[in-house]
Amino acid sequence: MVQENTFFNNDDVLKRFHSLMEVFKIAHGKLGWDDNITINDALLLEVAAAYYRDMNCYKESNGTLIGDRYKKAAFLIKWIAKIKPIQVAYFQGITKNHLLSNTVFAIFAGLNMLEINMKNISIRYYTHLIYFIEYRNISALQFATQLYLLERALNKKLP
Amino acid sequence: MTNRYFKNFTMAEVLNNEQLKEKYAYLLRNEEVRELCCWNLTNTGEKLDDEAYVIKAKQSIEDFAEIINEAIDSISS
Repeated sequence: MVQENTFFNNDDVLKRFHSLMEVFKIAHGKLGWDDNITINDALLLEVAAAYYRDMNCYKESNGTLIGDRYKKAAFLIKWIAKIKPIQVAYFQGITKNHLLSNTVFAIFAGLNMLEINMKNISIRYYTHLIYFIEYRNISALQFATQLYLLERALNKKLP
Repeated sequence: MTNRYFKNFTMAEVLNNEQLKEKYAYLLRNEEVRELCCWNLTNTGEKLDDEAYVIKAKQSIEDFAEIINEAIDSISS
């Protein structure tokens, strides 16, 4: 749980928690999600804390001072996918939209860190991302390379 | 110093500052590994602005919503 830790600053964690909460509200309003999809504040706070812990451990062990946006996106997606801060109420008529809400939130929150236009990504790539996040073990550093290549490709730049 | 993280410091300044010295020691130790992994190539060193992050989310949600729903529909249940 969130506590005093040498690996992160609690102000940063709270700031990230609030921005992720805002992003959830934005997503909830526009993705056609109903009231059965809610976010658990405590779990979202744990996402923010886990993100900083993991990112800062990586920075310490590699001697890197600041992580780039690809790593930020990858670490964020990893921890949203693992902790699953969105909760779905039990009711008859649960759809794929309900079941995939954490994955979709992870993709949106992560890709929003990159310098890309999200509508330029193919449906096939989005389905690949959904499968990857749902069923694979995410190595954030390898995933960061994939996100770097994605951004370069979308901006028509050499990798 | 030529290293990008320490370019604003002289060697003497780094060696006289315990925190900087420790960071520099890490860098020296891992230089070869990072070269091999190419992590330096992607490290642009930017700091995320949380306010700008939320504004960008507001701007891009429409585009995202349109295409992600199609992607979800294309997944077999």
